[in-house]
Amino acid sequence: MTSDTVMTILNGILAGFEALTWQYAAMIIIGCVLLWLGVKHDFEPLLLVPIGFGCILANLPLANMMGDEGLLRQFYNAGIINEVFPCLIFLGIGAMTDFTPLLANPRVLLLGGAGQFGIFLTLLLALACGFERLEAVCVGVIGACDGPTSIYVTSQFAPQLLGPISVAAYSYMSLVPLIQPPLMRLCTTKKERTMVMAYTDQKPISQTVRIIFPVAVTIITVLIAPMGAPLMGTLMLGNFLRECGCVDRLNKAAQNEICNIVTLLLGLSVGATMNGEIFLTTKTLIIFVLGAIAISGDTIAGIYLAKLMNLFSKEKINPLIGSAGISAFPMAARVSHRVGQEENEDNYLIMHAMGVNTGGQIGSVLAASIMLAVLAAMGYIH
Amino acid sequence: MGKPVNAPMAGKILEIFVKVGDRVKKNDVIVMMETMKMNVRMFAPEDGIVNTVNVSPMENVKVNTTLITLA
Repeated sequence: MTSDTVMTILNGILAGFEALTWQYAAMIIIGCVLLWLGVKHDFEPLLLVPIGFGCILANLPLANMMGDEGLLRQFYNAGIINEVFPCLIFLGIGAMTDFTPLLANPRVLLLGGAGQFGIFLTLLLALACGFERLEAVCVGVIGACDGPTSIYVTSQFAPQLLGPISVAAYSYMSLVPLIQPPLMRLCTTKKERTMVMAYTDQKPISQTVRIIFPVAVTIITVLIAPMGAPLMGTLMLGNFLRECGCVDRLNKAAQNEICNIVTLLLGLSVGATMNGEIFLTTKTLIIFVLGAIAISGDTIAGIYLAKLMNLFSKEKINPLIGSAGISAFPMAARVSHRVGQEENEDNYLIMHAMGVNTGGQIGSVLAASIMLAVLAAMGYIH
Repeated sequence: MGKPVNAPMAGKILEIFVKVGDRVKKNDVIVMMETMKMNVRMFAPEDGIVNTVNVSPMENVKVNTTLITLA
């Protein structure tokens, strides 16, 4: 073997290393950090593990996984660019969600609305930070604390920001148990936190009501905001499969097989969009800061609306359940319960908080839909 | 009869940490329930001795079901 042949072979073997720029290396490290957060710290592992691995695969030079013919590009084209994956995830979420606590105490739906305050606050802040209008809308939707909604809106209007926005949305969802409790204690008094909410006055919810609910919500909300039909329609279809009682196989498929497969493909595709040239910019940093502000705004707005409702209502609400108005399900409700029980062992807020939390699910989709409807009416999108 | 400790909400009993005759103190964990996919701990409302245990693990209970009574 001549020395030229040896050099050619070595060059071929080392070509990948030669093409490894600092941006690729940094993104591979970020992918590893996401894997570590998911595996070691249990931060949304179902999402962060495929996102982290997708990020590593997409940033290995010469592998061309996100090239026109690349495998990850095929996943991206098959489900992200046409918004199919987020909608299928919503089908699964609908099938997994029990809206009974919300139906038992429908006034807490208002708290689910307040939990969307951060969307609009962040939208204004993003505009002030110099984001273009449609980019600012996508950044604002992080305030929904809802990964599929963020992906759905961003893939339509600012696909170049899909990586940072979806990673921010999922990261903050997993950080809800750390972000919310200090704010909840700051915004409430000891007396408010120890307030016991009983369950004895709640009426049982019949199956008929549980069946009618998803159909009625679909019709009313889609008439109000038609652009949200794919998200709300699939969320409520999933819930209908769960409640109607005659399509158990479809219900189980939506909750398990469909949701699991799509979660894997969605995570890989989102991770694959984490391109160093776009991700490693000050914009990403600003998106993460705005995301934290969004979720803090949601939490505070929910708590203060609960306090406001107490001024006018005979039946008092523990303001801690107001923080569950975000869409992070069921973490936000668990946080309300945990903080309440830390203050008073006889306080079982979980079911009330779940009502607010499921209201937040509907609220986040509706808020995003209304925002899209307003943008369409103003001629910014078609 | 004794003081009843009732389920504050509907759910499934996962584990019972006391048996008849046990002495419990206020805020001891006596029962673990599952509600809305969350494990929720039930605490003793006061000091006492377990008089009766009225439920068993994996049993579904309604709100206000008496779980145990304290003497």
